[in-house]
Amino acid sequence: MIRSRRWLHGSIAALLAVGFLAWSNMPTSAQPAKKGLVTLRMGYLENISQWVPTLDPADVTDTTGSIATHLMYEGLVGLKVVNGKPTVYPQLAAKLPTLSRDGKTYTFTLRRSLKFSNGDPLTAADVVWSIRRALAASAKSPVASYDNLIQGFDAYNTGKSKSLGVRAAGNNVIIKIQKRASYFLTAFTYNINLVLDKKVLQGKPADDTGTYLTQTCKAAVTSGPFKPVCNSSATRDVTSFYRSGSSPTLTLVPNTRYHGRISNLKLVLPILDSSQTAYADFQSGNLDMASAVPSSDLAQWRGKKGAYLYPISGIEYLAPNIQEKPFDNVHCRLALEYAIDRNALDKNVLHGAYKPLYTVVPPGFVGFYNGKGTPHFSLSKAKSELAKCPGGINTTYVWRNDTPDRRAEAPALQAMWKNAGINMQLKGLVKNDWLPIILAPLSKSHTSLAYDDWFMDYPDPQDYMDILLTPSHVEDNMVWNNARYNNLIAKGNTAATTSARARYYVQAQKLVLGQAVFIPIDNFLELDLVSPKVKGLAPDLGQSIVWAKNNDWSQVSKS
Amino acid sequence: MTNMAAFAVRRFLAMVIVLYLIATLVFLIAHAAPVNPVYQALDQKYTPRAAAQLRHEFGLDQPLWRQYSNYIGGLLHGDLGKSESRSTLGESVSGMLKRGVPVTLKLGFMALMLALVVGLPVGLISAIKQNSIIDHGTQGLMIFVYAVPTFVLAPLAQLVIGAQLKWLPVTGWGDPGVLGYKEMIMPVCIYAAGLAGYFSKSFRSFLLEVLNQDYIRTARAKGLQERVVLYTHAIKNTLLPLASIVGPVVAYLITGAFITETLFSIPGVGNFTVESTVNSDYPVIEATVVLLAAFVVVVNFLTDIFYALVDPRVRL
Repeated sequence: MIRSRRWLHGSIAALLAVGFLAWSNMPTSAQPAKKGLVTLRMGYLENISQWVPTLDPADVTDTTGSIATHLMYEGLVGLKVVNGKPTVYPQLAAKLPTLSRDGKTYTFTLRRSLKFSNGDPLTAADVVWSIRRALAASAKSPVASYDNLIQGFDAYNTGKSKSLGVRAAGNNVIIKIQKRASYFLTAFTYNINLVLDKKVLQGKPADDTGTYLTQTCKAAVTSGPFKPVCNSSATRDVTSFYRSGSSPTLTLVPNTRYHGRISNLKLVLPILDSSQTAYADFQSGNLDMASAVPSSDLAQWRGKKGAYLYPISGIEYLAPNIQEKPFDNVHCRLALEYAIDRNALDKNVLHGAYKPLYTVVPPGFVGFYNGKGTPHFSLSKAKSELAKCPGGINTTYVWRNDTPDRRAEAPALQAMWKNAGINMQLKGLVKNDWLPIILAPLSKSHTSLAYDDWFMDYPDPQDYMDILLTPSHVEDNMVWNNARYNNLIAKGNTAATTSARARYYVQAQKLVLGQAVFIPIDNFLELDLVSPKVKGLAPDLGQSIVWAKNNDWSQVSKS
Repeated sequence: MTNMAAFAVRRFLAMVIVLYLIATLVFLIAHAAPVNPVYQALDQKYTPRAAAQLRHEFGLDQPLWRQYSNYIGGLLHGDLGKSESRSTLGESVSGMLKRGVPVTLKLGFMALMLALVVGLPVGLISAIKQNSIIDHGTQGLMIFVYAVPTFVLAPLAQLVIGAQLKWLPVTGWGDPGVLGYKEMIMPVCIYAAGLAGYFSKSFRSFLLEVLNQDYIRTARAKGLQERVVLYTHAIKNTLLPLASIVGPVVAYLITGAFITETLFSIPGVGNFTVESTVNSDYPVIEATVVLLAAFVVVVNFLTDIFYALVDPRVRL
């Protein structure tokens, strides 16, 4: 009797175990694998948890959204790296646009027989609709201002007019801008101008289209090299992109109706909650590529095959409050800057993961120069300037404390200032407390000195010199307003040749840096890791991450 | 009304009051947090105008008492609201929980099974070999895995087993097409480690206590084989106290995976809760915490009723 009970108990336990395992392993839906595609698992979507913040090109403000939308959509023109520099090239346009004699009208001609991923014809009307949709007041796009050169932008974007300087004429798209601007085409490569399928999205409320695109896989009818693999045809449910109950993943396969060469890749982009997770996942062999390797590990990767260390567009700088004491006085600002030993900071504190910076524009951009004239480290000069600073410096430095590097940097700066006789208290803030302070005039919060950083929106010096330091922009939190500087920037923005532009921007930088109104600290270096089995990826200054060489994913392979 | 019915009603009312107080407390704490959900949702596109618009859309421009009454009213109607995080903006919180709860339960029950399968035999062997090297060795190990926090053990395992030895992936829950089921091994083992230590220590104590009872001495004196004494008399009598510790553990399975889920990118309720807390996504914070509290409170309620049925003294 005892034996038979034991047998019964054993059988029930075994059945329960088998049943549980079967339940736990049961897929919720079948996803047929595409035959012949090479799978690349890429750590592109990191530092996010639930899902990509947005898949609406008109709403993209972060790296993950930019990467995902650039893989799925194209615009009339795009950026690719030529001779190490981001260069505008035609994407949906057959060639670069023709420009009218007054420099204000661009005429783009579309390639012939373009199609979206679902087979819908891609016409000039789709291009015009996409731009108008993104810039409409009801769309509330946070990045609409990248197109603010387009004629009628202000009135159209605020809902006061329906007129916008973008129209279709046959196979052409004609764009009129308000004033000659050398950087227009570069700015026009921004995500906001990527082309969506009018047929799929027309009729949706404009203020809701972004959420719809982000949470509805079937809405992602693409114009670029890839399209998403959908788990279901559900709407407003992020699990339409991936199997419910599994880790969120955006899976992309080639858009077979793409106008360019079709790749042979299946890109699996898992959502990774941190850089550390992505890094560990790469080391475990589960990812073919990871970015943002911790600076403390930089030394072990330097020079190794598949490790790419390169400068990107990001810069760190100090923003003094030039409206209030003590930094309304140039000597106080100069004392502060002379006391900073950038080389020691980058070498000893930041593990060589940054490069000392003495300019506003980082290397690789028009207008970059050697920084001659910018105050370099000199303890004696710092003390001498401090002696001319009325009342000395006894104030607070507000900094962003959310990365190990920044947490190491702030006390190091404090120690350097102390050496020069400057008494600086530290106030570290999390991003969400820091952001409102630096997105308003510093005088509003009575902040004496703030950490600030900037990553380009598009690779042009105007994106630094104009946006960070002219009074019409919220990013000019120092409230620097200098007529000569503004005039030089206006000239740089419209000069016809690259050399002329560079000349104006250099003059403007010397003006602002000589007065220590803007104190550059360093230029971010990016370390990306790629499996040695993967060929055809290279650093891309446009995306600030490793990307397909020449933007050609058909040339990327894995052995 | 019988004693039992009156007891059950009293306990039920207490449960409702506890849940109401928890819901209120969660609301107040969430709204007192220094992080602003509007900044989180807008991130780099923050402008005062956009913030005002979003604050209005979220209802955060209403007085706190109005927000509170809307929240409690929603809860009573089963409406948990909509997410205020950027990527899941407008998505129903019920839908998010619907996909998160099965993941958390799956992780929890796999960990529980593993913990029982490992912890009980280790506890048994330790008790039988009390004060031997085997006892000290196994209990030392069990105390270690019980004492080391998950937030230390998990990154260590990721670094050594994942990054260095490359035996297991460190993320990718439920991705059988690519990884098989290897990705489940590490989080389940990490989650089970502490539980196994707890079960092992507890089971050893229960068993030693029973083995020192008079009836065990009597059984041995009768000449029964040690195997029979152990399996037929001793272990059976440890099952009730064992059940009393496994019950609450089951209740906490849905609540206890915050760290494991976050570190291994597992899309369960714990992960949602942590993420929503970081983003100050009020509706998701409120829903997840109330759900977790409800689960614990209901299990405790059922346990009380069960004990009252078994032991009439409890009803008094």
